[in-house]
Amino acid sequence: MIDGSAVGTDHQAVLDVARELGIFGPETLAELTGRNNAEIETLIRTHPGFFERVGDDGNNWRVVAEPAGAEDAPGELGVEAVETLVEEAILALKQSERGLVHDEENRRLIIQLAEQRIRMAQSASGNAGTSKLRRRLAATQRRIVKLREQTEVQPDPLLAELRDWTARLTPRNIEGATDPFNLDVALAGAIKDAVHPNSVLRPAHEALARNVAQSPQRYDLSVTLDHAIRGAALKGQVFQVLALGCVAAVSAMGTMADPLVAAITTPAFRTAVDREALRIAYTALSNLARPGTDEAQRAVEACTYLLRRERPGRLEMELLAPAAMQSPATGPNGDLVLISQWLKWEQDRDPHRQERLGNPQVALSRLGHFARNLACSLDSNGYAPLERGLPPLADDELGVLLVTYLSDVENKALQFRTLAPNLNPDDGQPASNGLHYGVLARARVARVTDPDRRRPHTYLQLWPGCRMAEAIEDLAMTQDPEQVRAESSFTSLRRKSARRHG
Amino acid sequence: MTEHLNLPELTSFAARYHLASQIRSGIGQSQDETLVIERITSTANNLSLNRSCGLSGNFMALRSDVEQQCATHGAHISEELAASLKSLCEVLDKHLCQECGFADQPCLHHEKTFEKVSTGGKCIEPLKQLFLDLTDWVDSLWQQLPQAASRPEIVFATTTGRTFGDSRPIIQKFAVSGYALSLGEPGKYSTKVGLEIREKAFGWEQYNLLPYVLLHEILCHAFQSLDNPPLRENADEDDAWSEGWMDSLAHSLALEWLKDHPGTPLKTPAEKEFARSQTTQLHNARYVGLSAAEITSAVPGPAYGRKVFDDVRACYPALYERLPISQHPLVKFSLRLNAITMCKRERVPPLLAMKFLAKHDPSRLRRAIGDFIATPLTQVALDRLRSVLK
Repeated sequence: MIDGSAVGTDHQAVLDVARELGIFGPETLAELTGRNNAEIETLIRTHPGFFERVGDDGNNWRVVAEPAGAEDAPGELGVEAVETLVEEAILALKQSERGLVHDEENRRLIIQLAEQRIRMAQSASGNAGTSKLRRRLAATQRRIVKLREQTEVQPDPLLAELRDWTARLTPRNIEGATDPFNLDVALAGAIKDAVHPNSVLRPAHEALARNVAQSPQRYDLSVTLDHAIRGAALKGQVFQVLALGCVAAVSAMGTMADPLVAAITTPAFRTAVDREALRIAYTALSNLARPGTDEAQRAVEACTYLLRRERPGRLEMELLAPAAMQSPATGPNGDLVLISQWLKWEQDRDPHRQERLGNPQVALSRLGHFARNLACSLDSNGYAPLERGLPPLADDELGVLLVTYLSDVENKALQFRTLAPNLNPDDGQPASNGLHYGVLARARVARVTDPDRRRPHTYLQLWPGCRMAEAIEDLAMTQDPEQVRAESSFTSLRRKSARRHG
Repeated sequence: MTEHLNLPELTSFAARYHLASQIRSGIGQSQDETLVIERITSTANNLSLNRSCGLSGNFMALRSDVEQQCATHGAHISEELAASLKSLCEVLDKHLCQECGFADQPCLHHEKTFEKVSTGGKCIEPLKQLFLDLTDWVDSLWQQLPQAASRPEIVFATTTGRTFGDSRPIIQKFAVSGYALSLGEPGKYSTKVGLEIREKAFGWEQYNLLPYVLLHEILCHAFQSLDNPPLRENADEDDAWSEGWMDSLAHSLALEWLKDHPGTPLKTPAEKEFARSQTTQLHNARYVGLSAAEITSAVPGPAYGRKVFDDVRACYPALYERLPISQHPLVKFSLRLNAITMCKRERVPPLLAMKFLAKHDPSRLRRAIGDFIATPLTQVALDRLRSVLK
């Protein structure tokens, strides 16, 4: 490294600006340093060890040599700056400790940033910090360690079960499960341990373990929950709303949708809620529309209302649209076009898109619960939205995507099938009524919508040769070999007929 | 390169664009230039197309309307302008769909026309040209960096009609928005940059916003993650770096483009000022809802990224304000850092450190930024930057 003093004190200021610019043209350097171009060019020419040409155009330069002490250590800052860093770190940690940050990635980021601030504070304070400041730094570090340990905990599986209507809700082992459910005690315990990322679901676990959905106290509980949820929302108490909302979700009472939707639309709650917390709130609400819930129609209408009110984004589509599909207020085709557009949008942004390139049949399995919930809504209500909504999309890539996604084996939602067509008695040719494709719920969906599996397939008005029909035939061949009835599919009959007629 | 273009309604905009160009070239340095342009723009913006006659017919009507208005208000139309208006009708014929190579199948509304518009696309020629000009500009800035890779492949796409998410407030208020999608696989990545345009809402004001909208997508996303990672992901909408810091940079560059760049179609100071204020309105509107929540949030988002950008820019001496932003070291710094693949979690800590240093040790921060720009090897540059911003 060449000593910066070699350029002379006159030029030190120029060199400093050049270093700040990184790469520069002589004109820019001249303008910033108040020199003329000739002076700068002379400086560059007479100090060939300091400057190096960059790029092909010949007009850009960089400083090669750095003045002595360039790797300077950070200077010590005032106590005030260090205290600001500690304050910021503590403020961020508090948000997480109070259970206000529900997104796992964000919780980790908060810890990372708090650690960075403390590191910067330690580095900047040197030995100048007061003993009080050093104690605060040490205490903050202890909080970070504690929070980090708690963040490593895996997400509670109950949340995934609430999101998926076909999943069974499983309580974790709770001590004293034979005692009656006490909402206040359960909630107080959860709040006390709000720093734990899964504590928001603890009251729901207790309610599940004590089987409140079947207990005589459920109606009294519903009144208490109603008041408590609305009250907490008005105060912007996100943690309480979510904890109570999850209890409501496992109570299997559709009437609980009313306070939940009121809470979600309360301004005090909305301004304090983060994306992951909103996801939990929507999950709780949507779960009340699952098949078998008392007065599930209340939840259906609540989801429909929110879907309309919130301008559907990703969360709304994923968690509210399946329930809204059951509402008469939804369009006759159940907004299938919007759903298809959203799925396309998700597919384009799928982080696993590259793995999928070689296997285009596998569609969005991370959203499998959406497919199953949608299938529950359709299977419980006679597939009318599909019957009306698919034909307009029959030759559209969106329609193909929708069918592929819903029919994907991994998603365990629906099965689109080729069916034997009605044959014309006169000539033995298939009657051209287009009824050659059908849809049926897969076992996991049928277990909750049609446990006896008595429901036959539903015919779909698709014409053979359209893109959707071809996709269904491909799916039948590739994904469900045991279901293939190739000898009776319309295409094979056409081929047979062609062979017969020469 | 374009694909999936489906914007026949932009024909009317294209015609209006050429109208403005013709008129400007005809006016020259006329004293009443601003006044006449304002009248014509206003008339053209309010023009309701008569579907029973062709574009030429409509613009003939416009011409007589303009002449009548100017006569009423006493403004002067030069002979050159009159000649330009006359020649406009002839020029318009060259911008009809039939000239795109589909003479027997002109574009119709409510049908998929993207193939025709992609291979022909005279109707969106001004948009295509703007996209190319902006890409060239960003690439020229990128190529000044050491170890700059070759120009990334960027596909220009536009869609119309209702798509998922087009009811967002930005589309509702400004009628235009953009998107960028990362495509391809390792070694063959490309970015599809597109516009979302509310149906029948595209006009001169929307065109004024395009430099910012497109610069955001090109600069922030198409020139992002260029080091051929195993997986090139799309940026999150709450990413403090891509949607905050880089967006602020795109806004600053757009203002420079609208003011000084030869590629801008805007000529008069009033037009430029109007476009710049529209652009700033859009920039401010993008995260207006987020800012309040973010202030109390522990997780930095786009508003935080913007604030850091402003703070860091402000930590440079006042002399740097003389430089066009395209020559400011922050442009090279941002382009280089943006091209390195990092997840959201990796991008936030440097922002935090920069915010702190900008306030408490600005000269050290400025040197670190210059050093990052000038160090030839990218990994070495990054390691040295991290050693300061830790």
